Amino acid sequence: MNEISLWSLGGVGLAGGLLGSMLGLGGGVFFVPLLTLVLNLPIHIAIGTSLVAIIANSITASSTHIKAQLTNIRLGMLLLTATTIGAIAGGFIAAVLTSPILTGLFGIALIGIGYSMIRRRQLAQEVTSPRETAAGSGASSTSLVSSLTASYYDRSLNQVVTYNVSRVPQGWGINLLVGIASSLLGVGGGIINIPVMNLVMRVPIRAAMVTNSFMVGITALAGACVYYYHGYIHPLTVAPVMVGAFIGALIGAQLVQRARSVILRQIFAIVLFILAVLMLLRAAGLPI
Amino acid sequence: MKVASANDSRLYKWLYFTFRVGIACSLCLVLLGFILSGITKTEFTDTVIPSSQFSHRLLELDPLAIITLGILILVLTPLLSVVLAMVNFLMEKDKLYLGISIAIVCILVLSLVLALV
Repeated sequence: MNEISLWSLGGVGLAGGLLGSMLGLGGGVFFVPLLTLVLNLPIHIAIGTSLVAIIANSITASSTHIKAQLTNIRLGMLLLTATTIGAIAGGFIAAVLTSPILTGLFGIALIGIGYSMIRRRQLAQEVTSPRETAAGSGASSTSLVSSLTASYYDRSLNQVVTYNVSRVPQGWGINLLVGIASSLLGVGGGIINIPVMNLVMRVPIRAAMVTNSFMVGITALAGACVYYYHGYIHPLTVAPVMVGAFIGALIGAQLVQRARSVILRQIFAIVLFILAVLMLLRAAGLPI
Repeated sequence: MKVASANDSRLYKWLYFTFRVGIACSLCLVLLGFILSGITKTEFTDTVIPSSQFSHRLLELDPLAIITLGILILVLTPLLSVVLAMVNFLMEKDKLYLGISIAIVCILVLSLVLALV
C-alpha cells in the first residue's frame, strides 16, 4: 500500500471521527460512504473497517463519560445482551448479501438517519422534563427494573438527576434490531438507540447518549469478529482510519463546544442525504 | 460531584483505567509499526497475517504484525471491560448482573472463536 493511500485512509478516519464526535455519533455513517465513494473500497471491507474505527471512538469517548460517572453501566450491560446477539446475526446476514444490495440498504438507512438528525432537536428539549427527576411513570417494581435506577450530577441543571428505567422488554427487543443494523451496515446504532432509550425507556437524554457510547464499542466488537472471520478486516486499511478517527474525535470534542448544534445537524443531514443518493445510484450500477 | 455507590465507583475506576490504557497501547503499537516500516522500507505484500505465523513475525518485529497487535489490543479492550464488570459484580455478590455479564462474555467469546477458527 503506498503512502498516498495511507494518508487518504487517515483523512477519511479524521473526517469521520470529527463529524461523528461533533454529532455525538460513532462516525460509521460517515466512514462507510467515504470509504466506498471516495476511496472505492468494497463495501464489506468498508463496513469491517468502520466497525473497528467505531470501537476506537467509543473507547475514547466512554473513558471521559465513565470518569464523570454519567454512564448507566447496568442498563448498558442489560441491553448489550440484545445488541451483541444482533451484531453476530447482522454480520452473517451481511456476508450473504451482494454489494449492490448492501450499498442500497446503506443508502436507505442514511436517508432515515438524516431525517432523524433533523428531528433530534425535539429530544434535546426533553432534558429538563420533570419526569427525569421523578420515578419513571411506567416503571414496574421488579428487581431488574429497580436495579436500573441511577443518578448523575447534571452540570447544566446544577442538581443530581435520579431516574428509573421503563419498558425494559420493549427496549431490549428494539436493541436486538439495533445490533443487527449496527453490524449489517457498520454503524454504531446510536441514532436509533439514543431515541429509544430516551423516548421508550424514559432515560434522560444525557444518560442515554453516554450509555449508548459505552455500548457501541462492545456491540461493534461482536460484529467486527464476524467480518474478520470472512476476511473483510485488513490491518493496513483499518490502522490509518483508526488513528485518524481517534485524532478527529479529540478535535471534534473541542469544536463542538463552540458550534451551534442545531445548524450543525441540519447541515450534516443535507450531507447525509447527498451521500444517500450517491450510494443508491452506485447500488443501481451507475458510475459514481 | 460523584453520586455512585462505593462499589460502582470501583467499577468506574477500573473501566476508565482499562479504556485509557487500551487506546494508548493500541495507538502506540500502530504508530510504531508504521514508523518501523518507514525505517526498514518494508513493502507490505500481505493484507492479513495468518494466525499460525503471527507470533513468529511479531518476534521478528515485522511492522504488519506490530500493527495487527495494536488493532487486536483495541478490539479486545471492550471485552476486557465486560470481564472487569463481571469480576466487580462477583465481588458485590450481585447474581443478576453477574449472570448478565457472563452471558455477554460468552457471546463475545463465541464471536471471537468464530473469527479465529
